[in-house]
Amino acid sequence: MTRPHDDLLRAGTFRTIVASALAVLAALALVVFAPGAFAHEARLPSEARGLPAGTDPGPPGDAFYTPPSPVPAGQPGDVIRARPAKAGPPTARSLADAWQVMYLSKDTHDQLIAETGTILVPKGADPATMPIVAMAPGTSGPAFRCAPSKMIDGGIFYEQAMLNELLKRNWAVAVPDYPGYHANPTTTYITGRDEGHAVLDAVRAAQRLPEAKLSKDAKVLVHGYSQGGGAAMWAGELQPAYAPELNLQGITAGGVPGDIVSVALALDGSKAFGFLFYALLGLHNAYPDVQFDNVLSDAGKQARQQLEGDSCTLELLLNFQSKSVDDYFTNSPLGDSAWLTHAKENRLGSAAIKVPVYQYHSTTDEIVAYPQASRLRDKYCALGVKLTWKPWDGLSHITLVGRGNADALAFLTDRLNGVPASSNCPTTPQGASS
Amino acid sequence: MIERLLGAAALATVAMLPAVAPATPARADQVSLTLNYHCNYPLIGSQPVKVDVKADIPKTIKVGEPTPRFTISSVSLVNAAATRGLRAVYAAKIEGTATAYASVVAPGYPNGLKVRAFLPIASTPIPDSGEFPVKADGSTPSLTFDEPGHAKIVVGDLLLTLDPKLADGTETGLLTFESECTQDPGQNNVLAEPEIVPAADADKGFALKGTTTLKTTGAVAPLTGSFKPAFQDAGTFTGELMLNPATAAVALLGLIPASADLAFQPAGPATGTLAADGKLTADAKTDISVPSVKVFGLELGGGTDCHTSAPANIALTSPNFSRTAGGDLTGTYALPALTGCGALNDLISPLISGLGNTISLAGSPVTQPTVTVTPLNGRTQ
Repeated sequence: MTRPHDDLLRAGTFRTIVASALAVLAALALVVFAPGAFAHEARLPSEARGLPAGTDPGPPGDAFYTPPSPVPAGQPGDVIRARPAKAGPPTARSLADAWQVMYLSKDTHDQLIAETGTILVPKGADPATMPIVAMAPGTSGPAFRCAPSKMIDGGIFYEQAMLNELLKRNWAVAVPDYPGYHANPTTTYITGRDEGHAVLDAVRAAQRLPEAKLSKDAKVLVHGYSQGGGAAMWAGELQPAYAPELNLQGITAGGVPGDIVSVALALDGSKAFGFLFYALLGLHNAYPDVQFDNVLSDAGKQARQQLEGDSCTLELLLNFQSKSVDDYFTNSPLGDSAWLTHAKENRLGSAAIKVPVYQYHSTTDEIVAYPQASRLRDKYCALGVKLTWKPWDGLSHITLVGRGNADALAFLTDRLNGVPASSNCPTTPQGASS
Repeated sequence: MIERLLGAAALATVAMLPAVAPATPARADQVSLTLNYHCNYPLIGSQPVKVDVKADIPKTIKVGEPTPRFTISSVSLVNAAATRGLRAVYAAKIEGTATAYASVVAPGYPNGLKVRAFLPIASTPIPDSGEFPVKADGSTPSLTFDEPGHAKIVVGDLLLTLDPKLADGTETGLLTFESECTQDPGQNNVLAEPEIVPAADADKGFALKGTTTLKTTGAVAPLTGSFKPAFQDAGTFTGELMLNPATAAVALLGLIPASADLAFQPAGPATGTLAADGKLTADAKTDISVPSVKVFGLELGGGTDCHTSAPANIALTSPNFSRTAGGDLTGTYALPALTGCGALNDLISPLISGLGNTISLAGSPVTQPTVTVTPLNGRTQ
């Protein structure tokens, strides 16, 4: 039996202990769970690197690309870390400052993820007055070294010509890498919502990076070719619900893979099979129920190691020529119902794009089949999109990467200047075919 | 613009004007170098490139003498992987420019002056596969060294601006791109090591020989003298222009022999400019005295006090003057009125002073070697 005095003493001590413990927990919560705690922690290294105290420069080297675990709390578009980078070869460096950034976005399952990109701000004008162009890069490839931000900083970005044209016009540019570029990469090539969100959140990150000094009210444009053309259209379809605050003015998209089922079937057995192989891997990385590793043949297992180990765009073009699904798989993923289901989910053309669109494609495109692009255009027209369509004759998919730039730049310039967009949609709606 | 070795920090650009060609060309010797680089190509990534460079650069260069622009020829070996990448974008030929960055180390500039040479790459067909050579020929900038001693021309990195083309001559998907080439470490990258030797004529200047004609009477005086300019930056000079005493003789009315002795005294330094293309201007203020005026051999006046009331401003120009070879100088000048020439001063002065007097001088370097070898058979080589 305890004496009354001892009971009181124990109760008081217990209260004190509990109170202390709660205070400690509250303090920890403030540090760990406060939004933006990671983004705004001041550090001497960032000052030493020429960033004003404020943006976390992240760990040096490749570790910059490793997302924090768990993913920090925050909103899509928040900047997690940023460090100065090169805008490209000498002309680009003379035109603009650049930063590699890691920012929050949402994957195709609407889960918060951290991914990387590059933000470029021309030196020739006041950033607060600049429009922001989201430049959605074309196929870079599955290996870590292929990340567009690495390519840009390394002076080997194959779309540098277009990037320089944007910078020369004193337009700020946000280039998403798309998710999955880090050590042991898990890129989700051709997955529509991953890409569309990456594009829109890259613009938000550009607006939220204090060093960039860009405006939240800036006019926003989107440009992309090939994978980037698909990403640009996804950004257009998703923007009204996902990023309504962005002042989106127009979209230019070339070589668009609108229907990856159709594109995939055309690639099987072709010289450009590498892109199909990568697309199968990418979709599997996005949707684990899509068969991949467990249906690879021995040859396929070797080829798969090549993919994420060392293959970028050039290797996809050259090292898998004339292969077919039968060479690499014991069971074709193309016949897999999970693949078909998710591939259909990733078709463009089911939602209207609310801003003017310029879509272009080569009639003899040997990588992204032309007929499905034309059908996408018909779908958009039927949805009332103000779309200008330009087919090009006799050009390779790769050649049109550069050849289409001038027209795209003219379209974007018109949108910035408030020129009313025209449309060459047929006046009688085409029947929708899929 | 002539490159001068001034500040090591300045990046000097290539001379756009032709350099002054010296009358006695500096001895040119071919130098050559092979250097390995790694170049960054879009899509293709970093690739090794072997570059062979040849240039004609003399073993000796004179102080103060702008060098001509030496021809550089280069051959770069593009490797098979790069060929594969170019063919992947259907490139059938390649052209562009190679910019070579170099550093010229010289006395007084141990860290070197940064220079660059633009070497155009003529359109070169790309083979289906394998390595292939790409030629790029251009010229070095003109250089002028201010101090004698040992110099080194050190080759640095390259910047390629490349424009591959499809077989039909139109642009590939890459359009025009820049490729930065970093020199592999640990190589000998000294292209040439010329000796900068003192200009033999630096202190001795030029001997002048010519005539002056007085407008008033047409009297002609043969002239000799010397011109010793000290050259400064930006092609200006200041120095001494001396004319020896001379006698202007004329037959007045075609019959009456008359002469005036003239003595010249510089009234200040001669100043002027010498441009890279050889155009020279000079201003020399000279007090002119007339020790003697004779008609029919009889002294009319003159004397030690007889001189121009103000110095004559002799303005000379030359269309093509060189520090090593000299050149022709011409000009017109006014002879101010004479004073102190005796009782007949006012008679003598109008005969001599006036506008429109002309002067014409040939300047030749004082120490120009003139060695002729006469073989035993009597014919001069």
